Amino acid sequence: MIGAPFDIFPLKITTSQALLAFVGQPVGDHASRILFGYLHHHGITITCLVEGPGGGEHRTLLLVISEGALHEAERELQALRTAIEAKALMIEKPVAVIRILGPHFDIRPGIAGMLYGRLEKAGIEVLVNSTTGTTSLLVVHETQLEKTRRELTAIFRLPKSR
Amino acid sequence: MATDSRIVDIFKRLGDETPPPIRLSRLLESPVQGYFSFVVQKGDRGTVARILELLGDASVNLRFISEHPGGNGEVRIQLCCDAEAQQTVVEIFQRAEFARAIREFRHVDAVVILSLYPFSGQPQVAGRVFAILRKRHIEILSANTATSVFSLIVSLGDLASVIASLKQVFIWQ
Repeated sequence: MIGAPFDIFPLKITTSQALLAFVGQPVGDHASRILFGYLHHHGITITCLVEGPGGGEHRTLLLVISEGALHEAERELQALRTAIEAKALMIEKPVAVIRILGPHFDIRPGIAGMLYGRLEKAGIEVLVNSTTGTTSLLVVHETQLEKTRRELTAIFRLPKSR
Repeated sequence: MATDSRIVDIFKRLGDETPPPIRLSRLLESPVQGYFSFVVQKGDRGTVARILELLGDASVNLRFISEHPGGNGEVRIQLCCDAEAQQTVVEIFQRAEFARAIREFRHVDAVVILSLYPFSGQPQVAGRVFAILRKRHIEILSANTATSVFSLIVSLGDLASVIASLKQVFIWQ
């Protein structure tokens, strides 16, 4: 299935981030307008976003923002959670976001399986995976960043090692 | 009392409900896909790796994968494959070795991945997508971001309504 290592562009790693998980959020435009309106008003940039089913009729929204932005917003987060009627807000920090960008990943089967298998065997906990087309964003605890980087450089071929 | 005043303040900061459209450089539509979502417990993450390895062995190409924690130690996965491969995916999920670990399995057989460019972390882009589609009761199956792009999955049957709705809040070529 998988032959020679896949070539990828240099890994792009963003550290000192925080993962916010709004769990059990109702579906409704009001919640979206409140939450993203708040972020926009405070100039908070989203490093990574994943939104998906949350059980029953509920949704889960995960945002990765800088730790600095979290520090500024932390006092208002519970009020924000209440306003958007999320059942819970989970925060993980510090986390790192690793971008894996590979040419033609979207037409090459097996890369995801290889990546998941290798990281799972290495005991790396991937908090969030956001993959579309040619790009994957992986979110891991910063304590696992170096281990993750080593595994990824074993799976993929980076430009300087050719 | 302090929380209530902050909630009021948050509402007041919502701003104009009909701001001017945001300009996008492009909006791409994928070929028709099959959508799958499921839940495993954290301790069963190896199951996810095994499923993805089997999909790779079967040459199933995945254009979209989202993984995120749920509550109660859950891991939630959503993925999309090309439409012609989805029967293969269904058969893999139906294997007995996965019966115990997989919960809340859902398959939607005709979806499209819409990708909005550019996205550089601007919350207003994400906010407008979620707000306009949910206001019109259009289901967003899943959404995520990657380098420079915001992507969402909608059913093929909703596609025309989705595009018409997005044209209310975005401009693209």
